[in-house]
Amino acid sequence: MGRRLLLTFLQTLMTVFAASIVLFALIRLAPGDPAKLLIGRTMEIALDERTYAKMLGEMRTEMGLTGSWFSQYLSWAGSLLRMDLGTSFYTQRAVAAEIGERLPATFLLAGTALLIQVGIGLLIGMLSALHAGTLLDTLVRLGCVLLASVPGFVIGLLLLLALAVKLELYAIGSEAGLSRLWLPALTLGLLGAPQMIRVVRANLLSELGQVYVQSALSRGLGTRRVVGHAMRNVLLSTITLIGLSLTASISGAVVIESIFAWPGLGEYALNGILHKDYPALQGYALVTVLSVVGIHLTVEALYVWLDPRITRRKKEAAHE
Amino acid sequence: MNRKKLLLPLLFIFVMILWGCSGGGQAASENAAGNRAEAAQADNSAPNSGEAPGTDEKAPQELVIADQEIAAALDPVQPLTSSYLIAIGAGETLFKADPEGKIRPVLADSAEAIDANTWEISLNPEAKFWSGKKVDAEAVVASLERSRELDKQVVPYIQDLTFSAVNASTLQVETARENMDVPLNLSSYQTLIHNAEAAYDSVDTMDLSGMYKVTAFEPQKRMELAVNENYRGTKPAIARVVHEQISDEQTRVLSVLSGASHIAHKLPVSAIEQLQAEDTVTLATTPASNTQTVYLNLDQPKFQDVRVRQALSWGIDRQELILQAAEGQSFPVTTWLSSNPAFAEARSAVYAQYDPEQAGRLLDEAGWVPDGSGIRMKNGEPLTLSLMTWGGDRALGETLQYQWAQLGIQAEIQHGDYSLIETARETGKWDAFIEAWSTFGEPHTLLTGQYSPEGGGNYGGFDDARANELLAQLEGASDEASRHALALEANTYIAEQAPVISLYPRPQVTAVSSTLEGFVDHFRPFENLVNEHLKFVSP
Repeated sequence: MGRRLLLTFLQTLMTVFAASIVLFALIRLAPGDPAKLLIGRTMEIALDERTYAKMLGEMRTEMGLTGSWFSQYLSWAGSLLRMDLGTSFYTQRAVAAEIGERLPATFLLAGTALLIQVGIGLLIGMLSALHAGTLLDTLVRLGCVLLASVPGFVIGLLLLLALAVKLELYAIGSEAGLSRLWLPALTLGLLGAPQMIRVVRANLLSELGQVYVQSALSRGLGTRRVVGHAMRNVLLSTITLIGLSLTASISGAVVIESIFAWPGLGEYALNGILHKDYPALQGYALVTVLSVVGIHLTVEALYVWLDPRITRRKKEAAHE
Repeated sequence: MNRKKLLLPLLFIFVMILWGCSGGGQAASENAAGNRAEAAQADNSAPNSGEAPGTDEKAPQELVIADQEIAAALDPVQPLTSSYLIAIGAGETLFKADPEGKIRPVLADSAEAIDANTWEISLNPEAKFWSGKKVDAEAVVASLERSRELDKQVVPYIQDLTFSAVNASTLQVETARENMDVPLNLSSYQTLIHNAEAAYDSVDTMDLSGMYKVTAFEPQKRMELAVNENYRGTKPAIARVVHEQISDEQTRVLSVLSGASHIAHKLPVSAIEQLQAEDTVTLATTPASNTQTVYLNLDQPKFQDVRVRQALSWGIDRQELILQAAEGQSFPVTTWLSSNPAFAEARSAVYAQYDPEQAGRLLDEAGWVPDGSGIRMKNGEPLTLSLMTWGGDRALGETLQYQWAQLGIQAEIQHGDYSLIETARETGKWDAFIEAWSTFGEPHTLLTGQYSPEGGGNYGGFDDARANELLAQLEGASDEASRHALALEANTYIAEQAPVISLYPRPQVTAVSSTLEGFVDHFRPFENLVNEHLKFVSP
């Protein structure tokens, strides 16, 4: 057990380390000079060439952009070991503090969206499977295709138009309160629902075709009870999808957060991209990587815990 | 332990995490609401409680402005912060440009040129910071010197200026160059006057002089302001202002349409039609004082022939461009400087009308003649042009592509991030790109920056003896009239040489709720979001 934990820890460390190098390089590979952006583009034409070049050089030194990428990475990694994510080029505030302010809003949105997604996915997926081949099933599948093929920003803007402008049920603003949560969460939940519905439907249909279900039914067990048993196995197989959805919501809600002016990590990343704010982007990327790794480890642990067969199979394999 | 029994505590923990997270959000809202309440209380206890004559008593007393971006910090020396602080009425400069482009005193009372290198500026005797400290000459010098030390963006405006206090109410400015327009330079937002002794890490300690005081601030999210009761001039009729960052432009449109905000700033031109159809908002679309310009790379042999460059300009139907790419919300300019209100007479000084025949003749003369398919060829090579666009200029690029195609020019559009244009400029591998620089400022500085061989904005490498001579004469001009005449002459001559092609000023789209009265449209976007005459009325 101890050995396995150590192995998992080392694997995690390697993953984070490799991801940090890739992300660090990718951020710098994007065209554009953050120093030029921070000085202001007007300066390029307002100052003579020499003054501008001197100013740009000073600015790059202040921003720590003068050394090689390797030395810049080492400097950043050293700061990380001191639990310091650096200082934002643009706001001049500690990146850790800025991320800390926005993380709760992102978790709140992602968590609520996940509840909506899972709720819709389980309910409609189950209904669709139980009525497979009927008009209801066809409509559900058609709805899933439609929903999955419309981009998130279109759904978000349409919902805003309908619920904020036409029906006046939602207030557009920049605060992260509960009153403003439901619409971005609903949008994000709806965006992830088709996948969940299809997985639940397919897995439940598969379970319902299993021998144990047929024998339970032939022995006179009620349909509801049998479906209940089957659903437990279906739930097990949806855990991976739930983990993936949560990951996507935390790291990829950039568009939805921007459309709903939800002050979370996605909007922070967007600001970072616009201002080519390397420390902010690196901080965002690192937090995202850690979240992804954390969620995947949790999903793995949950699997082992919920399905004892996995541990048993591993033990049997070790004995052989 | 039984797995079923563990599920319940797990679910409970998840709900508690959600609750905790929402608590943070709620706390922020409650803080903000608390601040609003305090501000309201302070406002009600004051003689001027925000109810201006003629306002609707039931109308809201909180003005909400949805903007693409708000301040990232409270310190005016941080990038762009001063522009946002001025826009929402928190900060002031010594001078400002009025909507007609005339420079007016704000914290200053008057300005006088003593000789070619010296100005004296009298300060408004009533001017005070929020803390009550007088805005005297020492404080102004300290503020400008602090900006010089900490804000690189202020350098172009004050690098040639030396400030000293003559007495408490008089400031002397020595200029390194002769005949500089000091009030114009001191109207730029980077020269915002602030109390240099104050700390700018909290709303409680920051100290500016505007009609509104900052009461709450969440960087890049939301800034709340309340009336500065010690303000020297007319106090604003609206008690509170909220400046909110809503990055998505479509969401800002929906925000003002839903009534969640009263002013939505920096909207896309594509939203104009939608907004015009609504009676709940009015549109302000005064074009900025900048010129949408096609920069040509004069290192490319095809553009070294002035006839080709002139043909490109004659072959553009600017009215059509404005209809297609700016929803009709601008006016054509054929010379670069003429988007500046002070040089409006030069708007059609050259290329007065769309003339494809003239364009064709010039291309024929230059040896670019149409082949059987209508493509202009020379020495077996087609006349091609790769035009780089960015931001909201894709439609503009495509319309230009279509119009030049009518002349037999094969134009292609590369639309992408501005950094791609920067990279292309660094490598020299480019034909043309679209850019819009400000044309408001000292004409010599502006024209030199764009067209002298050393100019940072002379991307194409234009170097013309006559143009250089005119710019040198402009630098030495001693009076306003001769400066204006020489600037016009240089501007027209350069337009004739067509190192760039001027199109139209970029429109600025702001939607204002019809419940709000007194909004002033301005060609400088940082000057106008808030003014003391804004008030709510019944729609």
